[in-house]
Amino acid sequence: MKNRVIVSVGLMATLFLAGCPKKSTTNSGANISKKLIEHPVGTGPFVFKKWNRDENIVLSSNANYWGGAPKVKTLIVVPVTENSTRLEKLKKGEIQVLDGLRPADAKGLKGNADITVLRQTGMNMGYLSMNVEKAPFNNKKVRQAVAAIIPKSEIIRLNFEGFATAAVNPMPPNFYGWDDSGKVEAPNFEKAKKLMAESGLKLPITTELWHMPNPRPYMTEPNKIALLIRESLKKIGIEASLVTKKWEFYLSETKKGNHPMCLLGWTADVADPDNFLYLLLGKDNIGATNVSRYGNQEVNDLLVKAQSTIDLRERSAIYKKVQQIIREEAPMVPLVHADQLMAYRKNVKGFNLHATGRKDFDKVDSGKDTLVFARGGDSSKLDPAFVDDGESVAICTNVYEGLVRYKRGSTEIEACLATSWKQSKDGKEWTFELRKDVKFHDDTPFDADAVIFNFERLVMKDNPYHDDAMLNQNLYKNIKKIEKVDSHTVKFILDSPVASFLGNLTVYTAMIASPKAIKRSKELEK
Amino acid sequence: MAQIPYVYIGKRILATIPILLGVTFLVVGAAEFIPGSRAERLSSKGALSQEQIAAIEKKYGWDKPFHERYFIYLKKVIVDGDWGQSSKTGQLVSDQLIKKIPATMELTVVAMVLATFFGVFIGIIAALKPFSWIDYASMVGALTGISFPVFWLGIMMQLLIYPYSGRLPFEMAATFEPVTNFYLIDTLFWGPDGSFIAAVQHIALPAMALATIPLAVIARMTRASMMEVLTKDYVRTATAKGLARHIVIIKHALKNALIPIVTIAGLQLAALLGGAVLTESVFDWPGLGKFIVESAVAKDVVALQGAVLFVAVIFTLMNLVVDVSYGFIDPRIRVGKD
Repeated sequence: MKNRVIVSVGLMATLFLAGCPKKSTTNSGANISKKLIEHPVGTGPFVFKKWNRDENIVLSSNANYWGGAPKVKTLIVVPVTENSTRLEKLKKGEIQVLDGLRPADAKGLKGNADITVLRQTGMNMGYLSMNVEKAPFNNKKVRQAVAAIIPKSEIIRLNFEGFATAAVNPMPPNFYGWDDSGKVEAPNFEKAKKLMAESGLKLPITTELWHMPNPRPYMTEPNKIALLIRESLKKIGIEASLVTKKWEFYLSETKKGNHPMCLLGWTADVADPDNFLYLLLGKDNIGATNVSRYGNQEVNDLLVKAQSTIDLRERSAIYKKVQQIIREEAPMVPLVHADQLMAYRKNVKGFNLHATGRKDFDKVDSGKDTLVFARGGDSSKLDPAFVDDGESVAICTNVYEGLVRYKRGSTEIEACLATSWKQSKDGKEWTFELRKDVKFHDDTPFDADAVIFNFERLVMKDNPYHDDAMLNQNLYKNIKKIEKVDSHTVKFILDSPVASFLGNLTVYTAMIASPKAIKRSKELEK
Repeated sequence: MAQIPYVYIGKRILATIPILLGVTFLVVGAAEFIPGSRAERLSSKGALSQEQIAAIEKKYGWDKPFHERYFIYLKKVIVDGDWGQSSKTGQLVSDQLIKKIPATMELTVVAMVLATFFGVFIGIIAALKPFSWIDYASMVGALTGISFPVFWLGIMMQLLIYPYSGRLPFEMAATFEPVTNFYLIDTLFWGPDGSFIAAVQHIALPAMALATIPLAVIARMTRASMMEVLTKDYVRTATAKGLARHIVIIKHALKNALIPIVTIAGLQLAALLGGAVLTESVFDWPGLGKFIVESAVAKDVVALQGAVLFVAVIFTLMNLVVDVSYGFIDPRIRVGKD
């Protein structure tokens, strides 16, 4: 009997050995037999080791990293779906760094001797949009009255447990060009009532307030926020009924402008005012992201002009002016900038969470060789050109690097794979000096050819490695040509000047992967 | 030994074809009602241009009308064995499914062993002393077991005992190279020190949570079936012959009471093999059930279609196995001969 058990177990084992080939664990290029989405190969501080889907991703310290080898020898990234389980594991010390912390849990961790809560203002904004094409919000006085009575501090207290910043302008305060001439004001009902009287409309007005059906990063409980706003509106004679729709419909209907008022929000990848102001308030974007249907030609012209204004001071002045106009005309009320919340054990030093959501582990020292980082879900693809979910980005930004990046703790741009850069006077030519002696994780050299290969793949429609499904392509659509000046110098030629060009290069989409790995990936597809 | 009922098996296999066709039709059809453009769902922020959307729809064949897509899907699945590519992960759905089987199977087998062993045991005890306190206690227990929703029970277990999740502690799982992907086997033969015990600890809670319902069902079925058999003449005869009580119970009574128990156990097994959606989600068990949930949440239609079809195949096959096994357990049943 005992023998039979052993034989059958052995048989099963052999079957599976034959059926499931062992996963490759080497990081030398010769043995990788996987597509780039499965096995990322970059130049970053961590080398990809293995990925057991839904269980773990293992990265190891890149001993040859130009910025110094990370102290964490093995970085284990695990998905733990259940929020409470994830938190419990952090408390027990099974994991050291946790992503996806709920505001209520963050509050509960206050005073915990072993755990630090990390707050970082995100590049997001939740806002109340008023459709300027529909009555009563085609009346500026009504919009101004609404803007005067929104209880922002109460919204933050009740919905974010205080982990958010009240918004003054339609972009986060850590951006350059943020206008500091306004301030958060307490609801002023006297002023609002006066404005309503001046509007000449018969009160009460009935209208609809739309709110999202589900939580978003910039608004954790949209229905509660809608209730708060409805109560305030009632006091100035606006009777708003609450309306909600399935998320996809909600997006498409608000794009069409079928709402009188709606709650919505925006999250940006690039720390550039254009990413908020032009997309949300430019006339060109009516029917898309400008759901307030704000068609002010002057504002649109200013915003378009700013896009190609290379001089930072001049550009900043334009944006400040736009923000002042928006505060006056009030096509939308900026509500909050929600914090990104993470937590880690006290022994973890040097972890960095950037406003863009980038998570840097390269300078982390926890006193141990192994670090476990847990989040709510697994990554999906690890090819930077196809990525835009946070779980995949978190891995990509530790394995790949771009030419430039944001400095830790600011939205200032610093060198990364490029050591220096300069632009031509007309802003159409950008020349980058590349870092020498950098190698990809598969031991192939990083040079001008590798940079050109990556960008041609991303932007040239006829490139054999290009794919129309690559995300964020339009950030780079102005690139007309990429020239090799010498082995470690490249020149980008744009068809028109793009002021946010450097900012766009910080996005994960523009990170450089090993050309050898890309080519092999293509072969495997066939 | 009964003859192998080839005709019956053949008929049953043929009968699964319309069932599976129906399933594919429902699955492909249901996907039509998901709101929003499929291409836009690929990008979390919907930041795709119209050209990009068109290109993506063309790439995945989403621009064609429904009936055409349905037949293309059928042809691909049946003729080419191509279950499509997951839009979320870019992997082949068939590859993904195959990797999920060991985790689900391991959990199911352990849970079913627990459920069958304790279920039959409790059922016999209850049947031997009907309407005694022990009978009432075990049947109330069984009823409670059926009534507990797994998502509640699982979370309670994690809160009260320990937040186990996954198949091994994180560090151990990451340093460990699975061979068969059945972690109990892998850790026993190839794992580092202590990993087998850790694997047993990690499977214990989800297996217990998963076992509660089948255990309760089996216990009740065993009790009913045994009570009926125990009143039969041959049991009295066996007792009168002077056989030991445990021999009468196990060899004479239980053997004859087994048919309904096997049926119910087989069906429960089939249901669990299809992926214990709730248990796997609560315990982060990387099997079919969690895969289905995550594909649904990500609106990864291709992966979801594949997974549901796969579960349907497993379920129909298990039903077939249960039906056919009657003939072997009980020679009186002559299947396939009208």
